[in-house]
This record gives sequence, structure tokens and C-alpha cells, in this order.
Amino acid sequence: MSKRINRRTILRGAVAGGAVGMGLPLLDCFLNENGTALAQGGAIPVRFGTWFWGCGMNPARWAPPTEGLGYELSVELQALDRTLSSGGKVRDHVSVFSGFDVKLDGNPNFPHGSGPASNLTGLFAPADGVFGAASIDVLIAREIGGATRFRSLQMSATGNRNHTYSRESATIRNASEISPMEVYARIFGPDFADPAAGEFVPNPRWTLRQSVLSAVKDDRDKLMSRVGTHDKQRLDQYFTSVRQLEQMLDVLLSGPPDLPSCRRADDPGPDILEGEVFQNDLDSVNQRHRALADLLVFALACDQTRVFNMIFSSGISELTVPGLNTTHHQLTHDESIDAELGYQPQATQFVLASMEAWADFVERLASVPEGDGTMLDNCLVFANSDLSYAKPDDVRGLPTMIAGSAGGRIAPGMHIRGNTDPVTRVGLTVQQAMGLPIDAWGENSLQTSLPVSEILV
Amino acid sequence: MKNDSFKWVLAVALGFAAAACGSTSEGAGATGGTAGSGGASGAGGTGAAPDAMGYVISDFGFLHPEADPADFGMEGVRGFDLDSTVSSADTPPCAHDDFVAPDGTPGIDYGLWSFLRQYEPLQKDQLIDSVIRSAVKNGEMSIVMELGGVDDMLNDDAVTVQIFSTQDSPLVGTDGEVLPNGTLARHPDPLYHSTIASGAIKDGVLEAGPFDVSLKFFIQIVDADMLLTDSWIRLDLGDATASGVLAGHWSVAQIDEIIGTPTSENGEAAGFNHTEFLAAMEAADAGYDEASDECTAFTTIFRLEAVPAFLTE
Amino acid sequence: MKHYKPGSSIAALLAVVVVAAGACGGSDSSGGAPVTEGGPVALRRLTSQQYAQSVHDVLGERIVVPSRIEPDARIEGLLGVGASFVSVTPSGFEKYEAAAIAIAQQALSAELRGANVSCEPASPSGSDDGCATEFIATTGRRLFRRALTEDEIAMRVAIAASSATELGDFYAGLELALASLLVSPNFLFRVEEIEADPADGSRNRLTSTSVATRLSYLVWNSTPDDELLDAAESGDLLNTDTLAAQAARLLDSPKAEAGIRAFFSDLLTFRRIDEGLVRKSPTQFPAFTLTLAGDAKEQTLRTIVDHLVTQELDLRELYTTRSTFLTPSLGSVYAVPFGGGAWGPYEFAEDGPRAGLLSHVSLMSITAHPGRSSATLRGKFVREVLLCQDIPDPPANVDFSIVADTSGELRTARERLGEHVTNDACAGCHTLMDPIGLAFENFDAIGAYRTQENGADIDASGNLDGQSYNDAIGMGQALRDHESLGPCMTRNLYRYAVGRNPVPGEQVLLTFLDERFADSGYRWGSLIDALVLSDGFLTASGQREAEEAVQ
Repeated sequence: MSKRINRRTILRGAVAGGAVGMGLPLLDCFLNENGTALAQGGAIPVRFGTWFWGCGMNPARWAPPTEGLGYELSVELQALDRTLSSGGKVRDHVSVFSGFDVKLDGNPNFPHGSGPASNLTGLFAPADGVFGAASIDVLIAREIGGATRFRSLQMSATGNRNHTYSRESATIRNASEISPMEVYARIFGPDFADPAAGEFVPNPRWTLRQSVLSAVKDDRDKLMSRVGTHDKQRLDQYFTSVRQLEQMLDVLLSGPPDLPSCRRADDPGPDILEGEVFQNDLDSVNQRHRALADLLVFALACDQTRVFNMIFSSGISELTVPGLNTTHHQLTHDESIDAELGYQPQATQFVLASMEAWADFVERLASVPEGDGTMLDNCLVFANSDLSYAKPDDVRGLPTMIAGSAGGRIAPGMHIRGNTDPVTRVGLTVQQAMGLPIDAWGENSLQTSLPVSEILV
Repeated sequence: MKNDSFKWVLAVALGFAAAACGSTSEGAGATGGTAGSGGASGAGGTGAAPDAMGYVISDFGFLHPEADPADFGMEGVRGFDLDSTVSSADTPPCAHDDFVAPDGTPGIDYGLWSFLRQYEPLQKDQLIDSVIRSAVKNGEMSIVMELGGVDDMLNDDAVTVQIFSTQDSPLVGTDGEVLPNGTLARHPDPLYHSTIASGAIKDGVLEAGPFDVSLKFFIQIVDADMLLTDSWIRLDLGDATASGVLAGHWSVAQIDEIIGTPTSENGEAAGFNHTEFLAAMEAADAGYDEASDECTAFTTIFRLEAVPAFLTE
Repeated sequence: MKHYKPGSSIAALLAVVVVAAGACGGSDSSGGAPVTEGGPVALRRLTSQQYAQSVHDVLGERIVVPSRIEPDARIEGLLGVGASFVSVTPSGFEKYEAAAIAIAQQALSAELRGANVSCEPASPSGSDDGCATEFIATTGRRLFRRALTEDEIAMRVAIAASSATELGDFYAGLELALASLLVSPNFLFRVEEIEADPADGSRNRLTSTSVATRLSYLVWNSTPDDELLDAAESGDLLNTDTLAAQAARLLDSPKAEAGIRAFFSDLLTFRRIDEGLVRKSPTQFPAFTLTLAGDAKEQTLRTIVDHLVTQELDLRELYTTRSTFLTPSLGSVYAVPFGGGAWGPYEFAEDGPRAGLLSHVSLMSITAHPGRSSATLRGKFVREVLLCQDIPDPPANVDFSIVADTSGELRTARERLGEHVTNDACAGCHTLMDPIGLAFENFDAIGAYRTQENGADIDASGNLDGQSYNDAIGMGQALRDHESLGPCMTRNLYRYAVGRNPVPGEQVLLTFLDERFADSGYRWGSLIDALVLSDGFLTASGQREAEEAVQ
């Protein structure tokens, strides 16, 4: 017999160091006979996430020149040309949707607001910054988020907790985590059931905390009888949240996850603050984005959540670089189009940087081995922005992308042209791939029953 | 024995005398009690002397002629001819070669450079230079300066300069640099007020001297005084900053206290041991003492930058 | 999905009413308050400040209250209004629960339990229902702002008992009972209840405990104390004399400073400074450190408290006063001598460029971009926040290049903003904002004084609704004299107090309050008194019924 392979050691290298374990042949010890499920018999979870960047792109320079599989990369999508250590290019795992429109039907185009509202709910924005209903991530989380400790995780690299496109309802926003230090404490703090910690002993306080929550639920009826209709809705949301914490405690009591790639993340340490606050220069944002993405990947590897939202830059993008007295958003409006280049050179640097960050994110998911592939194969990440061409706040041809194969339900790596079809076709496809039983989505011109079938397996 | 404390090594590198040093015998008369008691104020102009302008030193250190390759060797050193003699190595006492200023003026004195140039930790941006540069920012060696009688920032034939230690720390911005328009109090002990240098501004360049400058500092664990006698100062006066050099005589005894004397066997962290140091001190180029027939001081040049500040008592 | 329906009462409630120029006639300023009916009530989630302050008041100042629980929402310009619309999200509740446990552990630690638990358990290692009951009833009343029902107590005594037994520690059991109080909707939300007015069955009034809570959070930004709860539970509080006396007592308390700070922090959006969201380019503005930002906010709040509470001066003179407080960091940005290392009073020079809150670093920084000043944002702030005038959002598809290009031929903001008024699509709104904002162009993006931009002299002259000025000082004077300044402050304080915009029927009440405020020489205490005793504060049309799509 050869030396026994220590699976955890290999994976540690793989997760922490990216490529360390990648070159190894498929290790049988990870897999069952089918090569698709984990050795201990637990099915590999399929996760859904969104990834948002602000202020869109330049359609003529962003949309790939060719369609279908193996599409040719455009100038603004060169970041997807990266080669993955697990094989292939980022491009091969990312489908690009160009020319899908946010329809307005005469409704106002709230600058930076209407795009996400319609793309993520299928409805027109009722007011600036307001969604018409719960967002797509919440719909999916309601379907698949109940089995994990966290129903979903929201993160933003912008340093502003209010930067979020996740809505429980029209008015209730799921705030974002902004601090890697706090994310670590929340996920990998004392309540984290570390599979490396030896025999699992439930914390007796978990059961007692459940009793605290049942006491709170007993307050429900009395309170409900004393408030108006709107407050009943608000209290319903409150009690839904209480129930979700109860479920989280149930998950904790059930012991550590049975997943070979799972281990406690490394403590990121104190937050790096530029100039004593969260600055939005590209370097700082990239650092925070990577730190948050790292923690997220560990959380996914341990099945702490199956739904996530990551914001790289906000809709009114505050990205900047040292020496610039303005921001990405301001530049998109303010900067003149260079007559020779035919585009805004300064604003464009932020589009390119956003696509690099997206490639970073995808690459990170692809660095974790799972089953016969990588974590990316078991994810569906829906990348989207608030605008297409930001100079005039245009929402026609709203850019979206899908990374990953959703556990085999998505055929990755295509460029699909929408030809002015409603953007909701992509959102419908996403929901169907994630197993939601819906045939149609959206209202009026945004309504569709036609998924992007090319990518649905 | 190894000591892994970085800070401690720095301290040793600077050769800290454990005890606080008093002013040296040469300091007699260096700090006039009346010089620091004027009610002058900063540029804000609320004090008694509206033509007085306050500054806080924002950068400080030994002048490194090699920072600009053109300055290396004996040329291009922006100092002063302190001994009013174009000296050479064969003119005793305290024989030394002089440097030449960028404008070609000969006779520039910077005797200490013969020692400083030999040791890497004393070079620009290296260990000791970095410690000194941060000391003027972090409050370990805060220095303020007052210009008096300035009617015209470009040309004025009668101005004064006075330098003070301060116990206040300058305000520092997000870029780590000293911010302008802070308020700092002159050191309460007039011992740390320089005498008043008289001079003039010509084409925006101020020159003044001679004066005796006495500074108090407490860098890491070194609590020391520094006295520069018969000093001259030259400043380029900009809109918001002043930068230039301060040249004077620094006694071998004080250099030994502050830089030369190791406090432990790790004393070679600065790149020299005490024996080597004392040997280097033989090159002293000033302060001839007839009684002992020894040269007791080095001519020394510090470069400095300053930003406007308000000075208070 | 719900659409915004003009004409519905909610839409009217939300519509921004431009305050009429000057109080119209109609009510007699020398007489009593007009009989009106307050708008609808709704649950009001504690703001993060109220949460922390309430915990401190009930369980001790030394408790470290976790920050970043559930963010507050700013609606119609106020977190105090947003609190009437927000709920608790799953991640928010998770954090409330973690915070509750952390707070309970501290409150019942060996160090602090003596102050928080008045009884001794029979045994420290087991349950004691009697002592648990006493603790839960006493503490629960302060947290829920009313007496607990028997059920509410019994349920928590049971938690304390089973937990104490399980963990072998009486106080550990109490921790869980206390945590259950702290995560309860009865604590996290202020429940405003109404009842039929016994004097006029057709009208609804707030219950006495609801009035106590409104009063306490308005004046202290915190939970009522035992004396106020006693007055509420006896019903006495609904007597005008008792209410006036209690209001006076609260206003005289040292805790009132927290209340006025909370209101102005909310109105002036100082939370953005607390959250590190007022950002300046570190390379261009190295002076804008976290210390400076914090000091800047504190300077303005100290100035307000001193002016309105300590000195009891005319509110309008906040915009002209040269009296303020400084720290050395602020002194360096103001370029004035200020040593000593701590806070101290300061008088801006008579012949200097600064007077009034709008010359403070805080407001000039908040109303500027990270890298440059913004006459438009500053003008918008004055119009919307200080004069209660509505400025529509900019239309989509506008070319801003000329306005923002600071490197081009147009060197000053005035020259660049000229584009706004020569362009019809922009002029309608920008003529309302830019001229005001240009008055502050002598203050850069962090409020430091300058006389030139890109080498060209800055012209800060202008005209505010008929009153001309040459600079920010003159602008402050014009603002002080503006007929909408007083009414707008009344309106904002009212919205803050009741957690919503006024409904149309309340305008007569606001007009009355304006007059009382003016009659008093714009003294803060008089406005609070008049407001607290008004029908708007004490009555309600009913429960708010419709969810509304609001930002």
C-alpha cells in the first residue's frame, strides 16, 4: 500500500492556495461510484448567486462579436480569456447575454434604479430605488435556502451596507456585509461546527436559544391584533425572520457538514482601511472583494449557505483611482467621448476592472474541487449591472452573464444575443435552472414564458 | 544574545544614552530666555506681531548630498561656509576639505558627512534616516519655527528666524504627511528656544544667522538635547511650504551621546562600533580648543521642510 | 404589485408639500391649538441609536452594544420616518439575536448583575422563579415601555428556570430570559396604540403609554424612565398639566441632549459620517481623517446644543452665529489657531469668512463630492432640508461633461454651472439650487477656505428668493431671514416626532406650531412644548393600513 492520502491536506491546499491541488488527477477517495456525489454520500449542493457591478459597459465594445459556444471575446471582456487551473478558460464557463432589454412601457427610467428592479423582479420599478416585489435571489432562497445555516449571504465590497439589490419585498432590503472581519466572525465564529474539531457535541445553548425564539413567537397573536394591515405585513416579515433563525439552529444541532472540501476559513484579520474608512479606490475594493469572495467560497464548501449576493461596485459606482477627483459613475456622465478612440477612456478603465473582478470571482469558485469537477460546476452565478451604456443611463441591452453549470442544469460558455427580447428571459432561465416551478415571469412587455433554452440542459 | 525587538534594535542603533542628557557646556548662552517669550503668532494673524509667520517642521534629517548624483563628492552641497574660509585638508587646525555649493560658491562646510557617508543605516531612507523623519511627524521630535519681520515674501532685507522645540505633535493627514495650519505651543522651557537669527529674503530665498539652535527630543527611548551653535539657515519660501537647510556646529561630545555610544553589545546595529566611531570623530573639522589642541565639533547640515502653523505659548 | 396612486391618502401623505411662503392666516396665534386629528400610526422600529441608548438606559452605560445590526432606512429624508416602514430581515434578526445574547451576558455578568438584579436567588446555581419574576417584570417594563402581561412574564420565567437548570446557573438562565425580551418585537418596535377618546368617541387618541414613549423618544431618544411610565400607567399623563410637567422634566434632564443631537444628526444626515460614507480622496484631502470627520460632526452638534439649549437662542441664528467649538484638527482646516488638544469654545473672527452651520466642515463635506465641491448638492441641501422645498431628480440622458470638467477652459464652478441655466432641460431645477450652492464655493470639498479655483477668483455672490448676498455669510443671513426657514424646521421636527409626513389636514396644526415658534423668538423648548401638547402628537386617525412603495 502506498502512503495514505490525506484528503483534507490536499483540499486545504486547493482551497487556500487556489491551484495547489488542481494538477492532481481526480482522487477517487472524493467520489462515490458514479463520480458525482461525495464519498460520504451527501449530494453536492447546487448554489445560486448574483454578482453585481455598477454602471454597465459600452455595448459595442462589450458584446462578443460571435455567438454560441466558444464565442470570440470582445475588447471589454478580455478578462474572460484567463486560463483556469482546472482546465479551460473562464470564458468556457461563462455565458454572455447581450442585447436583452429592460422594457419600460412608458414607466420612468429611474437612473440606476429601473434596470436592477426589472431585471431582478420582472416588474417595473414603482419608484426610484424601489422594487415591485421580492428579488430573484430571495425567490430562489425560499426554495433552496432552508436547508443551510444561512438562508443567504449578502456581501458588498463597496463599504456601504445599504448597497444591496436583495429584497424580501418591495420595501424590505437585505443589507450587505461589508467587513471581511465581521463575515468571518458570523460564519466561522464559535457557532461554526468545524468538521476538524473531532466528535460533534451540540452546544446546549442552541436548544435554549430555540426556546427564546418560541417565547417571541408567542408574542405574535397579541401584537398582530393591535396593528394595521401594513404593520401586519411588517410583523409577518419579522416572524419569518424568527423562523429562519430557528431553522439555522436546527442546522447547527444537526452537526458539521458532511463535505470533504469543508474546513474553517483562515481568519482574514482586521479590515484594511484606507484613510481610516472604507475607501473606494480600485485597489481597496479589489482587496475587499477578494477577501469576501474567499470567505464565501469557504462558506459554500461547508454548505453554510446556498444563496449569495456579491456586489463589486454599486449602481452609482463610487469606484475611483488615486489622483482622480471623481468617480466611475461621475465619469460615465462627465467624460467626453474621445474623438479618436470613440469611447470614454477613463470611464472604460472601470468597466475593464469590473470584468477582471468578475473573472477573479469565477476563478475562485473554479479553484475548489467538488465531485468530478469544481465548485463552479455546482453553482449558477448571475452577473448583472444596473445599466448598459451608462453615459445616458441606458437600460436597453442590459448586460447579464451566467457562470457555472448549476450542477449540470446549465450548458455554460455561450454568447446569446437577445435582439431586444426582454431581459426577463434570462431571469426566467435562471429560476427554471434553479428548480423553481414557474413557466412565465414578468409583467407587460417584461413578461416572458420563453427561457433561453440554448443554455438549459 | 539576540534581541528580536525591532524597536529595541533601533534604539541601540541610535546609540542611546540611558540617562536624559542636560544641555552641554557649549550650550551656555545658546538659548536666550527672552527669545521665546514674544507674543508672535502664525499666519492667521491674531497675535501681536502680524508680520510673524509660524511653521512646523514636516520633514527633517541629515542632508544627503548623494541623493542627487550631481551633488556627490565635494560639489553641489547646499550649505554654508561656516568658517568663512575656503579650507583644504592641509590647513590646520581642524583641517578639512570644503564642498562647493550648486551655484559654485566654494568653502561649504559639512564635516560630519565624512562620517555619515560611510554607514548604510545613516543613508537616505535607511534605518536611522527613517527614524528621524518619522520622529518629526509623530511627536518624538516636534520642531516649530517662526519668521519675524516679513513684509514681503520675495524680497525683504530685515527678517528674523527662531526655532523652537514643542511638546505638541503635529497633525498628520491620511497620506502620513504633516498637515498645515495646526496649532503648536513653543516649548515651555526657554532652553529649547533658539537665539534669534537675523537675515534677509532675496528672490524668495531666506538666509539668516548666526544663531544657536537647541532642540529637545525623545525618540523611542532616547531622551536627549541637541545643540547646534553658530548656525545658519536657508529657506526657499513657497506659497504653502518652506524648505531648505540648517547648518551649524555639533559637538563631538553630543554626537557621541546621541549617535556614537552603544548601550550594549548590539551597538553595531548602526554599522559601526564605538571604537570605529571614536576614530571617525578624529576628523572633526571645527571647534578648535587651544588648551587641548583638539577639534571638538563637526560642521553639520540638516535638510528641513516646513508647513505653516500657528505658534502659541 | 402596488403602484403609486396619486390621490390616495397615502400618496398625499407622501407627497412633499412645499411649505407655503409664510404662515397663512386662518388660525389665531394668540389662542389655543386648533382641533385637528393626527395622521395614522404605525410600528416604529428602534433606530440603531435608539436601540443602543435604550439598552444603556435600562441595563447600564457600560454595556457594549454591538453595532451594524440592521441598517436604518432614510425615507423622506429622515431615519425617523424610515423607522415607520422597515421590518426585520433574516440576517437582521440573526444579528439582533446575537446582540441580545451579547448584551444579556454583559448585563448579568458578575460585575453588572448587582446593578441589574435587585433580588438574590435562593441559589446561584439553580432556578428561582420569584427572583426571576421580579427581574423580568422590572426590566421588561422598561424595555417594552409598558407593564408586561402575566403571560409574557410567565413564559420568560419558564425560560429562565429551564435554562438555569440546564446550565446550572441562575444568572445564565436570566440571560436567556433577558435575551427573549431584547429580541421581542415589543422591544424592537415601538408599538403606538390608539383608543377611542372618552371625551369624543368619534376621535382616536394615543394611549397614555404610547404618548409616554413618543415623548421619551422625541426628547431623550430613549426609553421612558420609571417616573414617566408611572404617570402613563396611572393615566395621569393624558392630563395636559401632567403632560406639560413631564415634558418639562424630560427637557430639563441631562438626557435631553441626546435627544436634540439625535434629531439634528438625522436631519443633517450625520449618520453618513458615522458609517464612514462621507469619503474624500486621500490624496487630495489628506486632512480629512476619521478624527476630523468625527470632530466636524461633533462641532456642529455642540454648536446646536449650546445655541438652542444652553443659550436658548433664536434657531434662525444658527445660520449666522460665529460661536462654535473646535478641536486642533478642525482648527487646522479652518486655518485658525486652536491648541490645547481638546474641545473648546471658539468665536470665528468678525471679519472672517465663516458664520453659521453652513460654514462648518461637517455640512460642507457632506454636500460635496469626494474630490470636489458641489454647488448643486449644496443648493439642494438648503432647498430640501432647510427650506422643505422639493427638487425633482435629474432627468436621464443628460450630458454633464461641461459641468464636471475641471481641467477645461471653464475654471470655476460658476462658469461650468452656467451650462445648467443655459440648457432648458436643466434650468428649471438648477436655477433653484446652483445659485445657493455657489455661495459656498469659497469652501472646498472638505470646507477649507479658498479664494480661487484653478487660478480664477471665485464669485460667491447671488440671490436667495429676493435677498442678495456677496458670499456665504450673506447667504447665511438670507437664509436666516427666509420665511420658510422656521416653518420648515417645525415641519421636520413634526415628521420626526410622529414618524411620518404630515397629512393634508395637519397643515393648520403646523401653521399654529409655526406661529408659536415665531412668537417665542424661535426658542427650541417652546416648539417642543407646543408640539407635544398638540393634537398631532396625541391623536391619530387610525392604524396605517396600506403598504406603500417608498424608498
